Amino acid sequence: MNPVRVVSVQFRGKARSDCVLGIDETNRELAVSQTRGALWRKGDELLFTLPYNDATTVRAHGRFVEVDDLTVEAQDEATAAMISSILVEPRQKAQERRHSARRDAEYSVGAFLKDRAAALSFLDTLKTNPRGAFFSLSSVTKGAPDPFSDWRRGTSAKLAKALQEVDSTIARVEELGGHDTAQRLYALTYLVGQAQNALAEGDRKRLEGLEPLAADLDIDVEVFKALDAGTVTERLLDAARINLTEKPQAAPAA
Amino acid sequence: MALRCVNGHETPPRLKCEACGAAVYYKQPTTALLELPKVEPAFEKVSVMAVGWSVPPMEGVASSQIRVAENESQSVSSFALKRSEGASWIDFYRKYLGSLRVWMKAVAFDRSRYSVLVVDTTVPESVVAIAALPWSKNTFVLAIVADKNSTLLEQSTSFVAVRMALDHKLPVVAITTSYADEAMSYTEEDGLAVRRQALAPIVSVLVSAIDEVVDDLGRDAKVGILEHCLSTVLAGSDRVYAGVDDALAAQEHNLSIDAAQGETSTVYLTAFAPSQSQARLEAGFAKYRRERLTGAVNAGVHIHPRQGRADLFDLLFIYGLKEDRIGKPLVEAYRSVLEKAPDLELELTE
Repeated sequence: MNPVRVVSVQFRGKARSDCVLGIDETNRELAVSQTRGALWRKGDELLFTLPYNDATTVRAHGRFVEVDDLTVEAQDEATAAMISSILVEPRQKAQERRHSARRDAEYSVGAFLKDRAAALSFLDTLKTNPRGAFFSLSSVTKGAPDPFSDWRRGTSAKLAKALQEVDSTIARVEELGGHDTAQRLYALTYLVGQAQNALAEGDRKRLEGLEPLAADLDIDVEVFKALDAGTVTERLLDAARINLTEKPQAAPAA
Repeated sequence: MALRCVNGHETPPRLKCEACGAAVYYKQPTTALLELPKVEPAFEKVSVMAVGWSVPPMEGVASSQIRVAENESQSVSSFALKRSEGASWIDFYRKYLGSLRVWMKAVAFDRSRYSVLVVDTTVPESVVAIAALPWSKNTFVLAIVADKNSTLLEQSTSFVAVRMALDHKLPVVAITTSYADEAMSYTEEDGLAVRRQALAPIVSVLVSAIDEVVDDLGRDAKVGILEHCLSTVLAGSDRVYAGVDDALAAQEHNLSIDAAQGETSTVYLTAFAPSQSQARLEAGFAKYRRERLTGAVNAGVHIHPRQGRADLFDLLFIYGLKEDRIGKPLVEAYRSVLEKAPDLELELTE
């Protein structure tokens, strides 16, 4: 940003008027200079530099901008707002990136678990109504000699791809400093997957064994009372506040 | 896969290790979620597919139907061929052979241990139904076949359908249309049934004894006997028949195809009878075979305990017939139709 002429600055109790504020966005540093000399020998003399980062408090009110201990009086409100936004913008972008990465990861976790629930539901139908299950495959397998094996292969490949997506999106969350979020997302994936298995096998005891982890993830254990893998998946994802209705937009570049 | 924390402690499913409070690893254990439970589809032991007549549902049996309707449709239990005025078997054959084959695979008709096609071979959709059957050694055809009371076209269609089945090496148990139309049966559960409805108990007995029936038909097939007929005595008792010998003699006058003595090569009796009658039945059958089927290629008797009233018995006889016994009375009609409609010629080499 080009240096901005400001009315005054106040830093650690010292007030100076007729100053110039420079912002080095690359190195995240403020430079305050003061205009000195008379007429033909007038020039800007650097008074001090001040680094800033994501933890720096930035507040704009009227013509004033407060940057931690530094108060800047700009020529007008628009200039004050502009200074504030330049200081705050990178932080917002980083936050947006983290948020977006988290949403991507949540979406991929949800998509993997939903695909898995659908597969388990099909296997359940295969046990209770094998012909109905075979017939439901016929529209996709078109008279293949062994439609069930084809389905199994296709489903395994689909799940492997979906889990790969889970890994890569959670890795991105971790890259952006969301270690705890990444840990919780894996724990949630494990929890829902194990709950699906327990329900598919009718193993209520195993389901009860998962309740402490659900509590750690702030999920109401009542959710486990769902009767099938599909319903428990919906409810657990809902309880974990994971929204699958809309695929998130691509995350902004770093 | 056991869960472990970052310090290597084995831990129950928690976010933090109960021993040291460190984070628990979940990334690796999630890979186990790629494994799906091993499920092998448990198909019913017997599949029955009906064409041109209906078979009531039977417990533990997969039932499906091929029929003609106003609109074409497919479901897990039915394939409807679109009705077409004046259509003969060749029209359905040309139009539906491919899609029927796909459908039979889709409804896993050949996935049961035993498959039975119950078909009225006088209807034009019967030929394509037989042609579309998936190959399986445990499949046989229970066929209503035309006789002298049928029209020429019915006889011709029936001839083609039976030839198609035999060409596919499928055992055929034949029932003439006259036998079907005059049939009468009595069961404890449903009482008296007449005409084609009376065939349902016969199908039920066939299915109840499917292991032996398929075994006997398979044994006959090995010696080239694919054509069969049957007779039954359902809910018989010593009060109706003077004894087992009388019942065995009486059934011979009720064969499902008009076969004379000497036209049968094998005979199998499957009986559902009270245990006190079993020895009498075995002895009676041995006597009957000696007297009536001298020189039989094969014979066998299977006796099961009968459920329900203890004094009643059901007898199912299956007779192996000499070659071409079913088709012979129909061939003239077939030739006659062919003269007028040459495109109805059966070409068995596909």
